[in-house]
Amino acid sequence: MSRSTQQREYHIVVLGSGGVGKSCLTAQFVQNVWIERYDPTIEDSYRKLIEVDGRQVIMEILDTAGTEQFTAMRELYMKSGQGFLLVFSITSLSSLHELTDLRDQLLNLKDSTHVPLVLVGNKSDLEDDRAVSRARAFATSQAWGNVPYYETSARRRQNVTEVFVDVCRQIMEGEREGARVRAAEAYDRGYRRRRRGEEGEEGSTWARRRRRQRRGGTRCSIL
Amino acid sequence: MIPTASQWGFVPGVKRHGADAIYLPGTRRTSSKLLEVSTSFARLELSFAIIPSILDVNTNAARASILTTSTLASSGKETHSSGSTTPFLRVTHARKHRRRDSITFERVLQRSAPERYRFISVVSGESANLPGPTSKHPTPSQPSSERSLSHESGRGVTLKHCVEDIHRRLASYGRSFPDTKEERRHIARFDRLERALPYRWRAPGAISHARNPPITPLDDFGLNSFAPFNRQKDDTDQMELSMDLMTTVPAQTPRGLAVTAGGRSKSTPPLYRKYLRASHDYVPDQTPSFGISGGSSVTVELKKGDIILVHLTHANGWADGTVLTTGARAHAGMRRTRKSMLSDLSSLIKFQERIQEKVVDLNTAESLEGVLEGYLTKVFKVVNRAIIFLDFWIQNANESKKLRPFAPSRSQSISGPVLLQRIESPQRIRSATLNMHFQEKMALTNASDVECVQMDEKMPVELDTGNGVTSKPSHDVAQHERRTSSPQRTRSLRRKPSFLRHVRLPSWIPPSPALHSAKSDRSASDSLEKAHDRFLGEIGSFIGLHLQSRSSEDLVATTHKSLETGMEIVNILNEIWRRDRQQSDDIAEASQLMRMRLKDLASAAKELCNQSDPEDMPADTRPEEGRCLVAAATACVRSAGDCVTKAHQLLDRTGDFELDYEVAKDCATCSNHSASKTSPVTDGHRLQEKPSLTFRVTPLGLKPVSETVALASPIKMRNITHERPQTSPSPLTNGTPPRLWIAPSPSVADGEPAKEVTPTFSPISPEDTQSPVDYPRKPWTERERQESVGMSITGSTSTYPTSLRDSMNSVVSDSTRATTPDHSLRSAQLDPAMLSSFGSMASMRSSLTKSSEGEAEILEKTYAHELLYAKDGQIQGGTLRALVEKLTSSTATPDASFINAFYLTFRQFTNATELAKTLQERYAHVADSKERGAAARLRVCNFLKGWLEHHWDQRTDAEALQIVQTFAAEILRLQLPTAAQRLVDLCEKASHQPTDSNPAVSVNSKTGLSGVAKHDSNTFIPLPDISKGQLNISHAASAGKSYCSILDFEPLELARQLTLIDSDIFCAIQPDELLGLEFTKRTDDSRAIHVRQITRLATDLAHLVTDSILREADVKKRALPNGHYLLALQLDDHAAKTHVGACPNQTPILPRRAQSRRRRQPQLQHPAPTACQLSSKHSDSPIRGPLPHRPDLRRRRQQRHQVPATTGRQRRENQRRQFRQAHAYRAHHRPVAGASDALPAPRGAGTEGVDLARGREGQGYGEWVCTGLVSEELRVRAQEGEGGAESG
Repeated sequence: MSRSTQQREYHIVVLGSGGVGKSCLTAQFVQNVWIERYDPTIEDSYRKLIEVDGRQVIMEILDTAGTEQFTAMRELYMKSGQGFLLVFSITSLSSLHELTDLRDQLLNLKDSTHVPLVLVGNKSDLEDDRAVSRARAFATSQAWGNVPYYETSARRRQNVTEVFVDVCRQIMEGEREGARVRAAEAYDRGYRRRRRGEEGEEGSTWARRRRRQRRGGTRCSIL
Repeated sequence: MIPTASQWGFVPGVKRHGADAIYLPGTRRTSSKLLEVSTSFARLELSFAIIPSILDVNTNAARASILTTSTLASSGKETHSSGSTTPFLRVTHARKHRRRDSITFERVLQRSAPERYRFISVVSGESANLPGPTSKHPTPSQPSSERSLSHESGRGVTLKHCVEDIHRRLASYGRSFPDTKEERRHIARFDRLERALPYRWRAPGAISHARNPPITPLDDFGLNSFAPFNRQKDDTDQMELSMDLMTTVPAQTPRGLAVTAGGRSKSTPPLYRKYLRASHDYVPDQTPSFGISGGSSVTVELKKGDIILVHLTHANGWADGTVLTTGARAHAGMRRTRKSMLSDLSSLIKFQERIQEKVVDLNTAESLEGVLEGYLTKVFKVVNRAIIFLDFWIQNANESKKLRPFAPSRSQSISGPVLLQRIESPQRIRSATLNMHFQEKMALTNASDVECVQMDEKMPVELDTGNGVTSKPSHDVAQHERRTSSPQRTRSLRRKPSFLRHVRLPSWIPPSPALHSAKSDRSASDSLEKAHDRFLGEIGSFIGLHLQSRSSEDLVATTHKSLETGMEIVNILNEIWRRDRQQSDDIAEASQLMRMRLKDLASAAKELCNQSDPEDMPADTRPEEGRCLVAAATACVRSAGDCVTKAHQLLDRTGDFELDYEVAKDCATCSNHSASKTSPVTDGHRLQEKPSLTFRVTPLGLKPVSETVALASPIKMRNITHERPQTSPSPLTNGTPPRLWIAPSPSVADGEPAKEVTPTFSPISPEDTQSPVDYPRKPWTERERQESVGMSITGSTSTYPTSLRDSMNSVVSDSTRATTPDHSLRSAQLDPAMLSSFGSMASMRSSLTKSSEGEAEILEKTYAHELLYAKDGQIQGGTLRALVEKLTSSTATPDASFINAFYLTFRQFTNATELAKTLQERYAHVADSKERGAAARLRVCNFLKGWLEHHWDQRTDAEALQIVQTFAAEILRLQLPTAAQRLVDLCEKASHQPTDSNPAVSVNSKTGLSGVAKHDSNTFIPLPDISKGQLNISHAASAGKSYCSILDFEPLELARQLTLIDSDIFCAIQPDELLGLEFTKRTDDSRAIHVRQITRLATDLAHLVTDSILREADVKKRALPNGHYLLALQLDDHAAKTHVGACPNQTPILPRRAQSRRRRQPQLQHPAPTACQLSSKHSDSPIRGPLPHRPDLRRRRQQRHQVPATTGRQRRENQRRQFRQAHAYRAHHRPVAGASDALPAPRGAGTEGVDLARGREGQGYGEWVCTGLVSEELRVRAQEGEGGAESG
C-alpha cells in the first residue's frame, strides 16, 4: 500500500509514422503479445506498472496514430506527454525522415531542448529488408543531441522493455533536475526575502518572526 | 540577424515578457488574417477554459491608442505573475500610416507555471520603430527550422514552427470560417439582425458554409480554399445580393482556379448565383502582399461593368468570384465586416442588460463575473472585427490612392488617424472600393454604427458603476459631439446643391461614371436608406441608453430622437407612396404599421417617464418596464426594416426617383439633430407630418423636448444637448465647449484636431495616464468622418457619390471613438475577482447560454456540469451525454481506466442503441468545428472501434449494430474513410458472432492495467499425480458403477484437480456477471452463469466433504478423510480451502453434544460458526506465517494414523487449530487486500453458499458493484489475484 502511494505516473507517448510498429511495440511491452495483423491505430492508451531503478512507476502509454489521417491530435499528445518514443522502421528510410519533423514539432511545443525521448528503430528482425543503416540512425540520434537509440523487434521482444525503461529513466532524471532547480530557486527567493527583511523595518520584524517560528519549529521537532 | 524579444521596439510602458519573440513579415492583408487567426487561436484558447484577456492594439506613431478588451489590467499588472493561469492575447499594433504593413502582433499564451510562456509574435519587418532589421526579416520560404530565436533562457520557438503554426491556422481559417461556436453564434446573431433589418446583404452563405463539411485546406491563406458555396435561401435576387466589391485578386495564381462561369454554374445551382458588377476600373496591385505564404496577390484587372459571379462570400469580407467576361476566378472583398461588427456590438447591448440586472444585486458576484467575461469576449470580438475592417480600409485606401494620385486630402488622411478611428471610418473604404452598383441597398449609415460604438463605450462605464464609480455620460459626449459637428455638415450640404439634382437612376443600370458621381443622396432609396440607418442608430442608442442608468430626461431625449428618425422613414415612405399609389399599397400598409409601432414605443416610454419622478431613482431599477421598452423598440426596428424592404422592392420595380430637396434636407437635418438654421419648412409633406410628431410626443409629458420638436428649433436642441452633460454626475463633459474638431478644410493637419479634442476626453478615464500605453485620441478629420457615413456593412450598394466624398461634406459623424478600450482595461484592473474567474469556462458558457434562444442551438453544448466527480477527481457518474462527451473529449488524452469502466458498465444505465445514438450526436455536434472537432471525431470513432473490438456483446448490443454500421458507412466515411471501413468490417464481424468473444488482441486487458509479475518462479506447481488404478476408480465412479472415496486419491492430486476446476470456472466469469448483482437474480436467463457455477461447485464440494466424512460410521475412520482434506488445502486454493474448511462445522458433522450445548445457549443465533466467521475472528490472531510444510503435515498425518484414539474434544480442538492456521495463512497471503475485502468469501458449505449474496457479505459486494463504474483495475486485480482461484 505504502509503495503504491509512492508510485509515479508517467505519460509516455509513442510517435512515429504509420506502420512502423508502434502498436506492436506497445502491445508487446504491455501485454506480452505480438499483434499479427495490421490495424491502423487511432489512439490507445495503456497502463503498466514497472519498476525502474527500484521505484514503482506507472506508465501511461499512449499509442498514437501514425497514419496520416489520424494525426490531427498529435499536438495534443505532445502537450500531454512527458516522455516520447519516436519509432521508425529500419525498413523504411522515410519513416526516419518523418521523425525529424516530429521531433522539431515536439521541441517547439515543449519549448525545451530537453525532452525525454528515445529513438527507436523497430523491426530489427527484418534485417534483410533493412533500409536504414545502423550508422545512419545512430548519426540521427547524435544529431538530436545524443538521444539514445535502440533497435527493437516487437516480434521477438528485443529491447522492448529497454526503450520504455530508458525513457522513463529520462523523465525521472528530468524531474530530479527540476526539483534541484526549484530548490535552488526557492533558496534564492528565501535569501532575497531575508535580505529585504533586513532592509525594511517592518519587513525585518516580520522576517524575524518568521525565522523564529521556523527555528522554533525545528527545535521542537528535535526535542 | 533575427532580433530577439529584447530588441523589440515596443511602446514604452508596455512590458514585455521574458519569452521568445518571433516576427514574421506581415503585410496588410496577412496581418489582418493573422489577427483573425489569432482570434481563432484565442477562441481555441477560450475553449480551453481560458479567455483572451488582453488585447491591446496600440499605435506607436500616433502616440498610441489602445484597444483593449482585457482582464489582466492595463498598467502595473501587466507583468504577469507566472502563477497566474490567465493567458492573454496581445496585439500590439505599431504602425504609421504609411507603414501600414507593420502590424506588430504578439501573442502570448500563458500557461501554467511549469510550462512557461508560449509566445508568438508577428511583426512586419517594415515597422520603423523596430530596432530590428527592417528588411532582412526571415521569410517563411527560407528554410528556417534551425532558427530558433532563443532567449537567454534557451527556450526558443523556432521560426519554422511558428510559420507552420500560422499557416495551419490560416488555412483552417480560410477553410471553414465559422469554425468555432463563437463564430457560429455570431452568425446567428447576424442572422437575427438580418431578419430585423432586411435589405442588407444577407449571408446565408456563411451559415450554410458552416454546415458544410470542411474540405482539405490548401496551402494558402484560404484564398482558394473556400468551401463550395451553396445558397440555401432563394429569397435572394440580384438586387438583394448586391454588395460592394472591394477588390479582386488573382487569376494569375497558378492554381488552376480560373473557372469559367459556365463551368461553375453547372456545379452549383445557377438559380442562386450572385452577380456583382464592378463599378469602376481597377488596376491590379502588382506588389505581392502575401509575405508569409510566399504567394503573391497579383490582382486581376477589372473593368468597369464587369460582372462577377460570386462563388462564395467569405465571412471575412472576401468573396470568391469569377469574372464572367474573362473567366478569371477572382477574389473579391465583400463588405461584411462592418455589419458583423455592428451585430457584435448589438450583442453587447444584451450583455449590458444582463450586467445591469446583476448589478442590482451585488450578492451574485460570481454571476456578474460570468457576465463580465462574456462581455469581454464580445468586446474582444468587436475589436477583432474592427481590425479586419481596418485592414480592408488600408488596402482600399491604397488602391484608391493609386487610382487617384491627385487626391491630396486622401493621402493626408491616410497618414493621419490612429487605428481606431480608421476602423470606424468605413465610408472611406467604401469610397475607395469598387462600388457595386445596386444602389438601393444602402446599408446602415454610420449613425447606427456610431451608436453601437457608443454602447460599446458604455459598457465599461457600466462596469464602473458596478464598482462604485459613476461615469455615465460618455454616451452623451458622443452625441454631444455629433450634434455640435452637425452645422458643418449642413453647411456643406448646402454648398452643393448644384449637382444634387440630376440623379434618376434605375437601379438595374450599372452606373456610368457620370451618373455615378452625380448620384446624390437625394434619391428616394438613398435617403430612405439613410433615414433607416439613422433610425436604427437612434433606436440602438435608445435601447442602449435605456439599459444604462439614466435620467428620464435622457430617456425622453432619446425616445424623441428615435421617434423623429422613425417618422423620417415614414415620411419618405409616404413620398414614395404618393408617387406611385397603385403599386405601393403594401408600402402604405407597412408605414402604417411602422407608425403604430412608433406609437407603441412612445407610449411605452411615456409610461416609464410618468412612473418615475425625475428626482426618483433612475429607471434601471425597473427592468420589466425597460424590457417592454426594448420590446417596443425592437418591434419598431423590425417594422422599419419591413418598410424599407418593401420600399426598395417598389423602387426596384418602378425606378428610383429624386426626393424633393426639402424633404431630403429635412431628413438630413433631422439626422443631425441639430438643424442649424433650419431651412424653412415649406414642404407640405413635412408640415403634414409635424403635427403627428407632436402628437406623438406631447402626450408623453415631455414638455421641453416636445416643444423643441414642435418648433424644430435647432437652438433649443442645442440647449438640450448642452444641458445634458451637466446633469450627469461625471465631470467628463462639464464645461466642455460644444464645438469639436470642425475641420475647416481638407487640409487640416491631423495633429490639430487632436489637440483640440484630447483634453475634452481626458476626464473620462483618469486611469489612462496610469496605463502603460497612452493613447491620445485623435478625432476624425472631416474626411474620415465624411467617409464613414453610410458605410454598408453588408456590402450593400449605396454608392456614395465620389464627388460628395471629395467635397468636404461631412454627414453625420458622431463617433467619438467610443470603443476606447481603456474602460474595460480599467474595469479589469478594478475587479481582480474577474481575473480569477477567467479560468472558468463553465461560467462563461453558461452566461453565454442565456444570451438568446436562437443562439442556444448553436452554442456549444457541453454537459460537463452533468458529471459527478469523486473526491479524487474520478468520475462518479453523470448523464449519458456528459459521459460520452467526456469519453470523446477533444481536449484531453483518453483516460484509459475511465473508458474501460464505461465499456464495462454502460449497459447498466443505458443500452447500446442509446449509446450509439449519443455517440452519433456527439459526432454530429463536433463535426463542423474544425480544430477541436477533429480530436473528438477521432475519439468517437475510436470508441466505437474499441467497443466493437473488445466490448461488443452481441446479446445486448445487437440492436445498436445497425446504427453503428449506418453511421460508419454514411457519416464517418465522409471524413475518416479508413476508420469507417474498419468499423464496417468490425460490425460485420460482430454481427456474426454469437457472443462477445471477439477481439483481434486480447479481450480484456487490452487497455487495462497489466499486473506486476504474475508468475513467481518459486511458485510450486504440482505435477499430475494419478496412477492408472486411481484413474480407473474415478472412471468407474463417474460411470456410476462404484463408489470411490477420496482416500483413493492423493491429497495433492485432489487439491490440484479442485484448483483446476475452480480456476476454469473463475476465469470464465465475464465482467458483466458481476455487475449489478446479476448473480443474485433468480431468473434462469441470468447472465451470471459462471458465478453460479462457482457457488454450485462450492456447495457440491461441501456436500462431498460432509458425505465422505460421515460415510464412515467409525469415528476413527472419519478422521482419515479429514486429514486428507487438510492435505488438500496445502495448495493455495482459497476457494477449496474455504469450502472444505467450513464443512466440519456443519450440522451433520458437528458432534451432537456440541449442538445440544449450543441449543441451550439462546444468545447464539447462528447454528454454527462458518468459515467466514472463523476467518474474520482469527485473521488478526497472532498466528502468522505459512502453514507447516509438507513434511510437517505428513508427520502429523502419520501421527494421527498412529494415534487414532483421541477424544472428541481433542479432535475438535485439533481441527480448530488447523483451520485457524489455514485461515491465518490465507489472511497473510491475501493477494490484494482491497479485492478480497470487497469480494466476500463464500460463507460456507451447504445451502448457505447459494445464498451468498443475500447476507451481510452480499450487501458489501453489492456496494462494490453498485458504485456504478467499477474500475477495471479492481477487476483485473481480482482476476489476477493469487492463484487466480479466489472466487467471485
